[in-house]
Amino acid sequence: MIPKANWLSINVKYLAILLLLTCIPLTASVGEYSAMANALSGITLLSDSVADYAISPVMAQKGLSTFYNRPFNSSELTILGLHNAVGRKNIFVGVGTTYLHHEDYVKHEPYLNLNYRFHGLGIGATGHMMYDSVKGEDGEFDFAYDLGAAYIRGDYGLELKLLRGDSADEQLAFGMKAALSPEVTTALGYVKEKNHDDYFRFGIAAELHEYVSLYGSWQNEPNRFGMGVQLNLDSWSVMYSVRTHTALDPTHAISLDIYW
Amino acid sequence: MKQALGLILLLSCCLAFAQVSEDALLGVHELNPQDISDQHTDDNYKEYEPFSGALSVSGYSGSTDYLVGYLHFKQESWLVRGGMRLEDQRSGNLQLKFKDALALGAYRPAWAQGLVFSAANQSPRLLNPPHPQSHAPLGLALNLQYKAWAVLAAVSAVERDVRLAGESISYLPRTKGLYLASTDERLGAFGVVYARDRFDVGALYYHQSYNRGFANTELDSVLNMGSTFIRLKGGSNTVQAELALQGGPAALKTMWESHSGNLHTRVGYARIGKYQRPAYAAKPLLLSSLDEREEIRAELKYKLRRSLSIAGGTVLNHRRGSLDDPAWLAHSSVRIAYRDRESRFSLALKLIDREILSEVDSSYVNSKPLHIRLQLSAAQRVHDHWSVELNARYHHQEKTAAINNGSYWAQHLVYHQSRLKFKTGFSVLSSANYKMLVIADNDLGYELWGKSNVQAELECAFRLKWWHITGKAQQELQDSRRTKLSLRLSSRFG
Repeated sequence: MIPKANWLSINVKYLAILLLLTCIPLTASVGEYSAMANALSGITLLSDSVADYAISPVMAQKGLSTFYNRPFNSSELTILGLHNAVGRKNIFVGVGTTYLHHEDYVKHEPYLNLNYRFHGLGIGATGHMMYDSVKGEDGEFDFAYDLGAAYIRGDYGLELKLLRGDSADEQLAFGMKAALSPEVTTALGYVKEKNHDDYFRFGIAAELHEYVSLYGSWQNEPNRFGMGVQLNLDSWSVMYSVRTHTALDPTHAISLDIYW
Repeated sequence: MKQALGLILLLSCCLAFAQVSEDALLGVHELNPQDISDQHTDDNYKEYEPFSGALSVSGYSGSTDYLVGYLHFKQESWLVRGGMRLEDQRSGNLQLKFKDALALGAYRPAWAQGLVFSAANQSPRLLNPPHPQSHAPLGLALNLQYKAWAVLAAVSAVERDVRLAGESISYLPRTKGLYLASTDERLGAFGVVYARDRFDVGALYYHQSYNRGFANTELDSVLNMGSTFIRLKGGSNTVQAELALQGGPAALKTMWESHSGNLHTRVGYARIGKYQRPAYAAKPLLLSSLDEREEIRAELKYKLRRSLSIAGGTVLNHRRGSLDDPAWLAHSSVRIAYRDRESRFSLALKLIDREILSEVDSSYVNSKPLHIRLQLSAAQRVHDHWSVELNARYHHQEKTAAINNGSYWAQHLVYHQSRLKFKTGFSVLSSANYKMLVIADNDLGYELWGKSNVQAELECAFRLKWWHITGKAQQELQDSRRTKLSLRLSSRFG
């Protein structure tokens, strides 16, 4: 027989965990975990992070990215990622994995991407494998795919992505970007999700200094703001970002990117 | 649909990415732990071959702590090779060899297709000693040649670990370990080979005895058998056959092999009747350890370009002597591989039939459930001294009442200079119920992962003249108390 006080504390603990785990898919059904994705609400047209191959099959970037994400400032949840991409001529291949760890829950999502960019026109596809397990048991595998097309001309671009096709998280995203000045680029996006409300998002990237860039974003449904600062040093960068939520604490993320 | 798309994507990656570590025709090696560790040890000795001396000591700390050492000394035609492993007990194999004619100590004879000893697939040979933990004949072996004639002779006496059922042998382990009982094993063999340009023929007599009987009444403690083989060579074709006689119907293994331009093919047939596998014989069939079977295999490897090859094969196995009509069970593999100076890539897919003997009254049970294994290995140089590596496996196995599957995913970043190598990354095994054997750079050459696990890895290697030192640390991220450390110091000279 569990004493009433203990029973309550156990339930409160598990309810909190459950809330956190369920909030992740509710707030963004496709995980936007890198510092860049966190700052830009998942608008990949403004991103130069290889980690964002996880949410865009048409990144056409080469390099390595690793990140740490602390969702809703929870000390019990850790999300880690390691991603890299190589390219030859116009063909790019990205591989990476995101690993979510909680004492009672584990999620692992590796992927493989192939994308082709020619004269600004890009097409790409990604295969995802998703594994999750509760308390080391009931492990389940699932598979999904991303398809995407993009046209980038200088500081202007369009992007259309189908993410996690054939899964409960399926998402169709459209985005476009335009430069307001040589230092400031903006982007606007519309996202349609299978099991959630549609929403708009807006992002901005500003190069403050040769070594410092600022990123910001907003989305409705739910209302969330993202903001990040990136330090660029030669062929590598470090970025920190934060993203608010209407009901939960903000999410923090930090990334290290190396470009080659 | 989703799986198919995933496969298409993986296949398409080969256009850009890039290697193949295995030259076997059948893409995904099915990983027999002892074969891997013996092969890994053999590879170590091959690395030492150009040098007159080499020593290596490795210490491992983790769930078990142990030391492994290897030595190699060559003086003119004499060669000493051996390894030792110190754990809770000491085990090792040491060999003194004169040319390829005489071996003293632990040895491995290779003869014909492997129905008596290891498979030779060419003239009889005396192989390197196996992994220190593997059992091997201990004594004297001769492989003498005079003009067209050759003689292979071996005698061995060894006290071997055994698991007992009562006073009888229930199981003869192939590796040394902590067993409560032992048995005396005696074996002797004498064979003659006559070799010409176009053909070889040979015959061998083999005797094996134990001082205990077997619990399995179909196995004899005293085994006498004969083996004869013939090999015909003509241009790019080789046909060979081995016949082993143990009193009952003969065991037969045949193989036709052809190299023609960029095409390499092999076709084989084996028919095993009532056959007791000799103590150090190769596995007679690829798909089964049981007798009363027959097996057909066909394999091909084709080089599409200098850097790109495709290989495939299928093995069909059939149970004989049954009143019902047992199905032919198959393993089929296909592998595509690319390698150039910058990149390497290999993708292999294996489909496995596994018979499930299940009598279920009303519900349908598929007797050939889906069982696939997918393996991906790739590396790309991204800078003068930097490269990235990926190794992944996915196994999916349907069973009568459950799905058994698991995946392994490892990503590494490597820095390499002429004297320094630095490697970091992590590996993830995702599985609720699947034991997966993964090739690893350790003493055994493999690692057995039994539960979901994530580990970060750091390796540093430094070479200075004759000396080579490698340190490696692996930390489980889900349990901070689980750390694996290894340190290897080796030297080659002369």
